Amino acid sequence: MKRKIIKKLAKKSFTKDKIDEKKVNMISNLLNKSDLKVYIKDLKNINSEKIVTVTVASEDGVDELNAYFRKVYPNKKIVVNTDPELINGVRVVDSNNEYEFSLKSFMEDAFKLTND
Amino acid sequence: MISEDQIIKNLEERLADFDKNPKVQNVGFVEKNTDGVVTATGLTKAFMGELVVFQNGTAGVVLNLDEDELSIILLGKGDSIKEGDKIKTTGELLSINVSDDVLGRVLNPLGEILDGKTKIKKGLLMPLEKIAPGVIAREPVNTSLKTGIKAIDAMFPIGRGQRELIIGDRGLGKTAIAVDTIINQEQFAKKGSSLKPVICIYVAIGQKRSTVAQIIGKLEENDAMTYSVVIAASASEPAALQYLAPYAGTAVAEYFMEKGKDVLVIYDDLTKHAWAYRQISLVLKRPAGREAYPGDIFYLHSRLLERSVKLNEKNGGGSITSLPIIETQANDISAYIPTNVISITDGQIFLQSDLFNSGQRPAINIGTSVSRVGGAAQTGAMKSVSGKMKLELAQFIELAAFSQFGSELDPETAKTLERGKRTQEMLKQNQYVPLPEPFEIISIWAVTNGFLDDIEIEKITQFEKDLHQFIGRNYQKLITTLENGEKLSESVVETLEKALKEFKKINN
Repeated sequence: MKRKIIKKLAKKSFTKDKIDEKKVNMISNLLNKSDLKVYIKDLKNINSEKIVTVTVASEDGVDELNAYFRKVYPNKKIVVNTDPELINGVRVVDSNNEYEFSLKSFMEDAFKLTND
Repeated sequence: MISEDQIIKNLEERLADFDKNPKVQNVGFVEKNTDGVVTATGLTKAFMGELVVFQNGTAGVVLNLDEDELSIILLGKGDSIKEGDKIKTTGELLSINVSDDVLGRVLNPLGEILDGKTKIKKGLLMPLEKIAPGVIAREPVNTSLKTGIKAIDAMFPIGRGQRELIIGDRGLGKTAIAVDTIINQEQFAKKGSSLKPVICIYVAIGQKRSTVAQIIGKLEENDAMTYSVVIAASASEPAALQYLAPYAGTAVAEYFMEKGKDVLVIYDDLTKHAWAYRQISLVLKRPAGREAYPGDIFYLHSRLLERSVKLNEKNGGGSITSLPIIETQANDISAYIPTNVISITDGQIFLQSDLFNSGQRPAINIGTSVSRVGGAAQTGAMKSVSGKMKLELAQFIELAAFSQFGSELDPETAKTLERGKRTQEMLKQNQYVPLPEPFEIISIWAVTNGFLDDIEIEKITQFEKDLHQFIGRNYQKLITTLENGEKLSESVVETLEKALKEFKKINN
């Protein structure tokens, strides 16, 4: 089956921005092993495009952060994680774009700058 | 010695200038890792030739952009890169850090040091891929690049800014010609020389490390490393590094050229470069053409060699001369890669195995070798003596084949044959002994004016050596006059005659 058709099928497998189990089961029964691999990969990619992952250093102010990012990305699902290694600041991953404004990254860059 | 206060002040200034905006990066993930090529998804903002960095710190270059994935060639070992690893773009084209400190050093195509010495000071980041200077920025080749090899300087003179191919089978002395040319630039590196010094860059592609070490040793022995740089991507390096090596060499050369200097780059050899590119292209599943090379194999070398240029004064007056080397199989210069590079370069020096085996070294085939720049790159003095020699040699080669039939020869033919044999013998030259131009002119003048006609052929090499020593001791003024490069005047010719007659009298 052609790559483009599989991609179309993957897009059609979503109902109200969520994966529709019935549709997925119906489509997956029609695909051979190699096409199924491509279909699953496309589903994952489309699903990840609908999610924005926000990583913060601590749980303080998570609710306000959630509300803020829901306004910035109204059509996407916001997932908030904590990672103490950031020290302070935030990291936002939207599809394959990463926005980093953390103390950890600032210090790493400053160290590299002074090293040079 | 910088004081502590100064260091702190410098750091504070740098940190104050630090960009306070969030770092934005485009990320992707590894899908497949095979044979030095990684297939990745994501990286939607990556551009062709962009440098990317893997999770484990390995660098790579984007070489294929497809609809849903892209292909990245690894610039280091990819053993620890696994599926799902994160990749980040850098927003930069692949570049090499160059400063004046690179002189005397051995580097890899990424600018990493290989000689175990101190780190290279941060200089300019020179891009590996660059568009060649346009026509308006150039001027015709008009200054000679002296190789110190009599046969080349007389009959196939190379100019600064020219591309002259050295082509032949394995083991015939291609690298020897290149190394002798580098060693010969030592005389111009000294102050007071009439010509600008030449910075030399030797690019070793796919060679044995022992061979590269030998060449570096020879350059150090002859004090040539002080004005040379070696860029090495040996046979055990990934194909990606072998592919990038010549471009890295050219990038280093452009740094010096843009400062108004003359640079010589030797690519040893472009056959292995083509093999490395073929390997990468096949793994990238690019359509294979003739001999399984990709369709853009010509462009691989043409865009490299077009960057060798003689800039006009308005653009600094610098130049890059290149001596690409191609290895043939069974003297076949009509094969794919040799014909490609022959059509790009401004001439070729063709080394032949039967000449080598018969003792003629350098084994240059005079009939098929050419320099398309020719006399424009020769001094007046050399031009006035070499023309006659080339003609005599051409006549000799034609008659030599004819004389094998064994019929009786007329006196004129016999004389031409004898003169030709002596000229050929005079053109023989040992490795690592490049000659300054005055001595080249003396040797050629002596043979073309019959001063060697009565010397036995086996004794010509020793005669020539003794003659050079004699003239060097007793006729310093003549050497200085010949160094000026002006056409031989009557008085210079008289002095040459006098010197030779005197030497022959003493020698007898």
